[in-house]
Amino acid sequence: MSGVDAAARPDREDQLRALDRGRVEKARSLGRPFALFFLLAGPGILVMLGENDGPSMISYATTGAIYGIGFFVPFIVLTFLMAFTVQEMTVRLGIATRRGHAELIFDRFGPFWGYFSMIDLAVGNVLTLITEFIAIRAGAAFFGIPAPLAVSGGIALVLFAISMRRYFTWERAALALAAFNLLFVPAALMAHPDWAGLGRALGTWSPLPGGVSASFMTLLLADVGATVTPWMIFFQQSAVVDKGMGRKDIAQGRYDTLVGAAIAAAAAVATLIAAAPLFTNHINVASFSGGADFATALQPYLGHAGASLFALGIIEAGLVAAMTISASSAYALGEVLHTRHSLNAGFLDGKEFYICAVASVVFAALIVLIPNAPLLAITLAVNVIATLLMAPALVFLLLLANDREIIGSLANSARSNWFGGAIVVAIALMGTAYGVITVFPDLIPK
Amino acid sequence: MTGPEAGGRDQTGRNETDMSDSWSHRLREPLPRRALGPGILVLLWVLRVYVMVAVPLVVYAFIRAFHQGH
Repeated sequence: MSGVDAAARPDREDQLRALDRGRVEKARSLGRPFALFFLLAGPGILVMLGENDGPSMISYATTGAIYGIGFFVPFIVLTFLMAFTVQEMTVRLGIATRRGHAELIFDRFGPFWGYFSMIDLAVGNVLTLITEFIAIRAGAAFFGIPAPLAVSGGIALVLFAISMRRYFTWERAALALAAFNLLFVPAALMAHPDWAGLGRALGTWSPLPGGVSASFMTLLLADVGATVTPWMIFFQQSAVVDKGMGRKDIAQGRYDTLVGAAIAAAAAVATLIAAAPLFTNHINVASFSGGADFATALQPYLGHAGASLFALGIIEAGLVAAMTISASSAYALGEVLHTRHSLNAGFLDGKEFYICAVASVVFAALIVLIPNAPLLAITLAVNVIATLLMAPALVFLLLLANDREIIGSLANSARSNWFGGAIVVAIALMGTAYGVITVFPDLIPK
Repeated sequence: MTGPEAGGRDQTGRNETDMSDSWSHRLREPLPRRALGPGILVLLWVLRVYVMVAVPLVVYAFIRAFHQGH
């Protein structure tokens, strides 16, 4: 369909977005701040809880099992503050330009960087989706659910949400599912944490058993990689645009991101605390390969209920990430190809968008079911791609957030440039270091 | 300066206070390329070199892990 045709008639996408905007404006005119926040929340919470995905929760559990409650508790909170700073820029970019991140890179910096970003995102997302289905399969295995059934259930749920052809419905379904990320909180309570020790850890960033070592550096960098990844930048900006957020909504967009970061940080710290009994009881987790191993090992300390909550949390983490990551791929493809890219679009109008979302999910799920598939290699490659190639994504984010020709008065201020720039540099350096350490583990002494 | 602060239309082709018009058709109109200063050009070349090093590292990591897994 040509651009002229699309402009000539009000289409489904515009009508549904106008309906959502009508509700927002009504809540605003009636002076209902909570209703306004309820309607405008979504992209920020989803991106943060989407990044609390299967591999990330395993990373936090590993941290708790190796280091217990100590240095890493405040460190994880800090990583989410960093994530908030990065993601807040995408809110402003989406609101100011009404365009996704991939489209802005393509248009403003040319096809080389446009295609590079797209391929980087596409490859990283497909591989990450595979790890999400590995998590779903592993979590389901704890309950004795066969892998084909678990994976099919995951596919069905993701496709059902997409099939609504309604952004708001998809977003609410994903938010409802994402609430189960907090299952790690009761699991942590069942570990009977040392509250005084938790308070001391938050205040003093200690203890750090074993001091600074190769294992410490790897986990530190892995936890940064578990909090900020390229797909998050692309997803939140596209979702802000698809939701139809405007300049009046910028405060709610920021609150949404902040609330998402706070909930995700709480779930991440809870996962660390839930796994801390493995540290206290000197359980070696080096051979653990997934969520089911952690749930089984934690059963003597959390009870069957606590271990079940842990396994359910891993399944939820994989499902929400599968929804958000597949959407981010579909958005980016549509943005680069300049085809319809909205969860409000009809199937025919948005066929490239829906085909991309469905195909990426089905492909990833099928890979997990292939006997002897190189899942270990895929998991490692995901970590390396997400961390090594984070630097270009962050640099473009910072450049775009300063591009006054397109972002206007919402551009970074000098202070936010120094603050955001420092965080971008820190994340980029840590990500690069993690990628290099993963590829060349002998570079740092044991 | 044609930014929204000036009260006109920015390069996205819309006035910042205009919320009622169609969003979807506008997305088919590409933005113009950004005029890049020398600092950004140098940064992008550094980034190109970084990418040329990083991509083989990713491929190497995958192949090595693939062989270790079999």
